[in-house]
Amino acid sequence: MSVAPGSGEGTGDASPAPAARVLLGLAAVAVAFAAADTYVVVLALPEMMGGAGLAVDELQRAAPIVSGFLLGYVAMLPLIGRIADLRGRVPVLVGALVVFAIGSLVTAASYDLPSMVAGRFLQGAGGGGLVPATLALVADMYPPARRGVPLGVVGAVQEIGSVLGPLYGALVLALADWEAIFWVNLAVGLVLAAAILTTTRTGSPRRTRSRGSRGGGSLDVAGLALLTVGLVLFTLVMLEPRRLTTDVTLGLGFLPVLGDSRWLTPVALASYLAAGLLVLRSLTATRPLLDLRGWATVARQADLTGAGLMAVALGGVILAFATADPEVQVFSPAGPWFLLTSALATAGFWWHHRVAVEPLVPRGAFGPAPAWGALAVSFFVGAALIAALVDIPIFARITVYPDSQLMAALVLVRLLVALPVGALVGGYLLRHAPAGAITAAGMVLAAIAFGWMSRWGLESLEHPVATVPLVAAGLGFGLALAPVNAALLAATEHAVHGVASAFLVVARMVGMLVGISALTTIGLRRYYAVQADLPAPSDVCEGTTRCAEYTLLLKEAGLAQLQTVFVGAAVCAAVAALLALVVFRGAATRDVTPADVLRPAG
Amino acid sequence: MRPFRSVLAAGAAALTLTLGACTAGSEEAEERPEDVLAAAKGHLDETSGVRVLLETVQLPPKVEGIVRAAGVGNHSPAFEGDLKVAAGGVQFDVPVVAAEGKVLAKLPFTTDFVEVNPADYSAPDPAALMAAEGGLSSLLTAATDVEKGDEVRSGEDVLSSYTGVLPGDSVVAIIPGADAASDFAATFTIDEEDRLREAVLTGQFYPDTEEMTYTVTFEEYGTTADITLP
Repeated sequence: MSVAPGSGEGTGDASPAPAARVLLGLAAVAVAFAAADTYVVVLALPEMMGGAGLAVDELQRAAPIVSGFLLGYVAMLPLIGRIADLRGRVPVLVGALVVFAIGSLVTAASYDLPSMVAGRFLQGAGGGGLVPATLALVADMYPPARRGVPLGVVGAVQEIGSVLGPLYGALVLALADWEAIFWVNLAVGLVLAAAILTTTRTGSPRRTRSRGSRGGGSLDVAGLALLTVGLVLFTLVMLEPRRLTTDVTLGLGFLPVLGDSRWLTPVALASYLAAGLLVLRSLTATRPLLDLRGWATVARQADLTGAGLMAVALGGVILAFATADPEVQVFSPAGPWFLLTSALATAGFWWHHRVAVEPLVPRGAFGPAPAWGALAVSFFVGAALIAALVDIPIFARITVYPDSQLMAALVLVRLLVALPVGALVGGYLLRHAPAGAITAAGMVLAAIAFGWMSRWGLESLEHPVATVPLVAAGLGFGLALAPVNAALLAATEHAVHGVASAFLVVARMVGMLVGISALTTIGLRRYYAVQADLPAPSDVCEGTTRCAEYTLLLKEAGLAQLQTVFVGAAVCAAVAALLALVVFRGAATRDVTPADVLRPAG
Repeated sequence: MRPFRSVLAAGAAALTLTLGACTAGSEEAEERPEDVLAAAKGHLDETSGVRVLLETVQLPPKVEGIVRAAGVGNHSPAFEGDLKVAAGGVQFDVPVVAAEGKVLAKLPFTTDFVEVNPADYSAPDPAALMAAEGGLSSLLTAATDVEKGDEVRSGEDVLSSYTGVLPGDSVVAIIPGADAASDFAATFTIDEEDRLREAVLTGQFYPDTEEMTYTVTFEEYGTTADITLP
């Protein structure tokens, strides 16, 4: 980054206009917020499970609350980069924020598990759209030689977001219900979208003036009214406020006209009507609120089919594990069918990839072993990481902090704080050691840490020594970040570096969503399989059917599941270490600059 | 007719009220609220079986108690269903069968039913909820200061609501932790056939906590449930 100001070779000025900087700042805040949202639920998970009608021993069914977000993220991330090229950065940023806000609304108002997961999926789709659009914005504003710092800032806020996420969730939970987290998200999403729109309007007066000649009618009032009415009715259908439903007259609006679904009530039908009219208005007006015609053109040019097939393939895996009854088996009777659907979608994706004009993944980009190997390593790193992120707070809640989400969050923060430190060390070591060795060292460290955690008992977290495996795991994950990135960059063409980095994130997230589903279900299943049934409470407690000894027995039994998950995470980390040693052999990573490898990748 | 009624001018309101009373049956208009509740107790005591759902939106912080109890009861008395119990900051689903004077539960993370004493878990004997004396139906006749409230909608039906005050000792049978010395506010919702559809109870259910609300709903009157110990 030793380039003098003004020596840029890009299209923009060397120093972007203040309005452009504000825009980039807003986009960065949005990225941080979306990153925080990935992990905001890990603390609220027990409460959200209660909201969806799940008990704590049904963790495998709750996994989609986490993985639904990841699925949305993964489905959109590779797609959005292309849409942002076709459609422009600002519309994509605003669109992503609006989708994120609607997802937050649906999650906050959710009335069962599917509606909650649908909301989380939409949140993920919006959040996934923000990152590539923001990176593209940086590329627009700065010449290549000056992009290092702004790209670093975007990457940093993303990491900060994931550290702050659990804390932010715990803080809101200390003051209000879990729903409040998502109502706050809704407000922040809309405020950011409005701020970005305002910045771009005032930032380019030339455009507003030329468009303002049509009598200042640039705002589609009818469209806005239809959108508002539709959203309010939609929210009412989801919430079914008791005050309205029990009213003798108003309650009629919540009575299904057919069957007994809440989506067939007059209020629901009215919201469909508003939505239909909004679509009609958007298709016919000269300057509609939602530019459906424009987006439809973009959808045809971007590889929606590829992204859709990928989403179906991953969704099938999530469902296969989430519908299981681990007391009986790892897969539900429908599980093999979900996996079959998944396999068919994967085959379809493969075929589509071979014939598509503009495939989601550039053909041949991942040919060299370090390139596809980086994806495989990332997959296992993600699977191990999600086990830490989800199960460490739950472990803390069950054992030492049953009533304090904040204290439970601080346990996880010990790991998250060590992560960026490890990342810096990993980036520095790259100059002196091969990527495979550094990755393997990091993942072995993480595997040892998970092995330690799998031996944790009811009081382990009360001792300061519990910090050791937490920090070690964080350092280990951090160490592996840069070398994996470097191996990928060294093995791929310069022209596909952007999309290749995006796929590294995608691989990690796929690992996360398969990991959370599989490890949780296998953990519960193994627990049920090996447990010798506990004695009857009356045998343990003298005279009564409840006593401290029996409660202890139950708690220890519950811990067995989390301990199994930690063992699974240790195995995933060890697999990542072995893979890295093999596939990164010969990767010319010492030529890659530290600035390049510490670029934002998730 | 009902949406139409809502737009009528104030002058026609009296006429509408008369009409409403006529369609609901003329004798009900003269019935004392206490008699309606007593009739509802009779229906609940005589039915072959009923689906019961007892539920609270939120337990006070740090309370170990019942979040939800759902199942089918009959007058053997017996009950079969699920309890959702909060303990140690998390919630557990506990399948229960109560019959022949015993309560069997499948405790969290176990796979077999074992006999438990529900009082040890601050929970009522679910079968006792179905008893004609000291069960849920006795709340209807234990209420004092009963007054007729607003009409409320429940799906297709328009129901009458009655408010009253319950002495704490009648509530202890439902939630053992309830303060026997304090009063509880109750709202009963009764349908056109004088059957109890919902009871909303507010008061101090657990020692040293804020007031909270339990809602008990009754569905599928006349259902037949053959409940035996597993």
